[in-house]
Amino acid sequence: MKKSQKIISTIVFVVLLTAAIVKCADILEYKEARKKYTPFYESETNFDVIFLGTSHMWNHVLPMEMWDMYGIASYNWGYSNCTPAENYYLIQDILKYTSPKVVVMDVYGLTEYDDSHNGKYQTDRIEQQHVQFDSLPVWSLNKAAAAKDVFDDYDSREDFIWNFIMYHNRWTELGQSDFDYDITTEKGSYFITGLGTGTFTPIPENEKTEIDSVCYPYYLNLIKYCEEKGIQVLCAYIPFAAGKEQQRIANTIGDIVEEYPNCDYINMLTKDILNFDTDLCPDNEHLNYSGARKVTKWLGRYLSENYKLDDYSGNHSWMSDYQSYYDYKVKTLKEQTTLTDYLVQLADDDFVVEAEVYDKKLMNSERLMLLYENANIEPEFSATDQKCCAKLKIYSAETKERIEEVTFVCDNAKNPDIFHISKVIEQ
Amino acid sequence: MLFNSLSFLIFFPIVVLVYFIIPEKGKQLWLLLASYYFYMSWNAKYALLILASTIVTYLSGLLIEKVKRADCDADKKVRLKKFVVAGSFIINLGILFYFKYFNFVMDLLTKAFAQIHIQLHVPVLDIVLPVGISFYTFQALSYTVDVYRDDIYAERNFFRYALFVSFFPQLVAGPIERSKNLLKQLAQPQKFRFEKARDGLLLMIWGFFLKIVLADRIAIFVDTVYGNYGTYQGWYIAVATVLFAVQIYCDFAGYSIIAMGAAEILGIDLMENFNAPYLSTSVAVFWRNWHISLTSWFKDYLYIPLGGSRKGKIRKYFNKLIVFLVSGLWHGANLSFVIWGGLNGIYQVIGEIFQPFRDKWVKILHLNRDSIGHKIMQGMITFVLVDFSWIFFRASGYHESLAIIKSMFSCNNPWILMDGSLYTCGLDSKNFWLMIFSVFVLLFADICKKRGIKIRSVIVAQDYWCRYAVMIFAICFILIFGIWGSGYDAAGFIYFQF
Repeated sequence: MKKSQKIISTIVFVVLLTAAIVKCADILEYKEARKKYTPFYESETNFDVIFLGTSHMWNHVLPMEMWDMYGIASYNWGYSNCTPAENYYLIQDILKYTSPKVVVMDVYGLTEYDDSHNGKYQTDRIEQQHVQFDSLPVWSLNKAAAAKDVFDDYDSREDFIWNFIMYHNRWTELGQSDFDYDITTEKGSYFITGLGTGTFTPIPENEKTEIDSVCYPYYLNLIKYCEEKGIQVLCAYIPFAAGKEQQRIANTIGDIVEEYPNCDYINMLTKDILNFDTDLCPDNEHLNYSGARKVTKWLGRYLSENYKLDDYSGNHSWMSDYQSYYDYKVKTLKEQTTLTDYLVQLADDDFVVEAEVYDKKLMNSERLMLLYENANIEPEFSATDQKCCAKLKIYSAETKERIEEVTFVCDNAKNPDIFHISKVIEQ
Repeated sequence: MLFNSLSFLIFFPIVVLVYFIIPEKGKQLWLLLASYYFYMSWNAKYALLILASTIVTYLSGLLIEKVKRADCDADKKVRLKKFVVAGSFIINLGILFYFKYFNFVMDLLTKAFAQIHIQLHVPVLDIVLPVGISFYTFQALSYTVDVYRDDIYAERNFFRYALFVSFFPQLVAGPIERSKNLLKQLAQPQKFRFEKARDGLLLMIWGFFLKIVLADRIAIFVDTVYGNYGTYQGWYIAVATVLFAVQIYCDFAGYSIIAMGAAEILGIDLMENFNAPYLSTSVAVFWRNWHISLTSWFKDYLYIPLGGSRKGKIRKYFNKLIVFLVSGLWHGANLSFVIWGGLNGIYQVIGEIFQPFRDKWVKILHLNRDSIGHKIMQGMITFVLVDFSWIFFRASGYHESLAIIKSMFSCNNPWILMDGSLYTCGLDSKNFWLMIFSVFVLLFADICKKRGIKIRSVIVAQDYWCRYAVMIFAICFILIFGIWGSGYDAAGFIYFQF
């Protein structure tokens, strides 16, 4: 072989090998990041608002609902246990793909991770950190900097740079979902279904505490970084069933950001947005769909009134995306198995509902009636002898098409418990 | 810096690239710097030890040469040369003894004196074993003896000699090279040769397959069973012991083959260290095909000086036992290693003693020793004998070895081979069967080797598209199925919302 042939041969081999490895890495990669962030990278429009933070942001702020209510184009980059240290690096890559006017940062994560090894990431949930970083390109210097800094005490931090190092042995788990998976329609968010029980005992707003956290400098650096880029920052304490110490922290954070002219702070815990009888999910801390819609509505109004954001209401791309999101909501609705779970999902002005109740004890249940009221439903009591105890006829608010007619039976007819009113599954 | 580490995958291409770019004058120095960097990545301060060993043996070579040329009588020359060799051995083995065997010997002495009710108060030193010390010490000492025997000239170029001792591909895990082979090659700066680089790459691919697909996978199973031999009894231990035989072969051979491949890319040919050992038909043949560089070192520098087979049968058997006891000790400072070595020596001695008896019965029974059936039977018996001795090698000590053997025979539970119990030993069913498949690939490769078929040559002889496909498939196979990196824990990815 001539020298030139050898060189060409080697180059071709290296290119083919690289392509093969990239393909293998692509197949073996855990798809969560891809499902969550593909619409972000493929978007035809700019995102005026970027949401960052923990699961409180991820589960409680719904961009598609915010667009529907206010025409705001936003994307939710929140995820479980995503710390301010991680957010500081994430925003630097995010800004390569979009030019937001406002970054909304959930500040719950500021003090919650100090018990983990280095305080910058949640050590026993390393896979969750991967969801946040997996979608960033391999060649991202920013990602490498994050791996070196945020995960400085993690033995395998190079797998954040090239996640194939972690995922290469996923071959035992490969399944249909690795080849045929649904991309999120929720613009990065994820609403939780179901109903929980919890309380919230507010404390006085002047009750404060000292904040000293490893993530604190990153939090401030993020604000400064956005300031340099001409981006407004809204720090928000997203509501949930917060304890007293968390409320004290929420009361204190506003003082820290006062000196930054591009930064505002809202303590949403004090805004009386939620009803903890209807808005908590089964883990009794996070919000369900009903609660998330309320938070989204409040936050969306605040953003509309305080920031100059473009109106994307008539944007065809968003309209098409909303249709996909609506279909997803309908699919999720039909997957619910109890009356309370249905009522939580029906707290949504995309649906119109005719409801009948056949059991007097249910009509006397304050909490159940609260759930109906929360969903804007007036149930009719009918004393007719029905084998079921309740019925819902669900229609699309826009097309008036009937979506579903579903009946429910009480698991314990003598002592009905609102959490155990099960859907009758048609054979 | 392990071969199967990200740092080596960055280090090696850089070393190769610079080596072939820089002028000839600088190549040796570059490789020397790279080799010391490689060694110091394990523990920087122990580079002083390898340097000390290098200086001592380098000077020993020069001194021996000087004595040879000295103007004095032959007897005095021999005495002086022997004195230099002895000095070199004492200093180098002294260093080896201190770092590897001091605590072991002190422990033995304490226990021995305790038997006669004398309490010895000996210091227990916190000594970290310098990586590769057994390998480079033997390699350096072989040079001293080779110069003494006139098998090689005394190397005057210190940097070249230092490179011989520290050449990074074979520094930490062999093969233990001979000066006749390696030193002479290092004296000639190498030009890049495409064919050698391709062959070296194929070797490295095979080495990585053995190491990270097979050895490291089997280790999971073996560690689970041997780490809990009270629970995993009977056939669990039998299966684990068989697998350990494959594990240690793949681990060791894999490393040697990666070393050979890396050296070949640099234009250096290292000696073969393994030659399908488990296809051997006797323990003696096994030891001619297992860790060949060490076995031949002991033959040339211990067995023959002891008299070899020149001083009668009894002395021959005694010499063999000594060699294997020392070989056991070389592998580790623990009685179980000595027992392992001794057992292999005993196998060979008994084998030789009973050879006439076996010959007689083969004749009486009209057996055909050349038939495949007979060879398979011999191979299986050899494997069982060698594998049994591996228990002593794998266990953490003599007492544990006996406990494991006892546990193996404590219950008869062959159903575990069929009822899925084997999937509870650290490897799920997919990984278990991948392991079995890989063992058959290894068996196929070894059979080809025994029959003189060089698989690399077969691959290279194919059209370019076929060569690419084979190599790309092999590399992707290793990357996907190898045990490396942080790995994905499915349990950790159960969807947590919060």
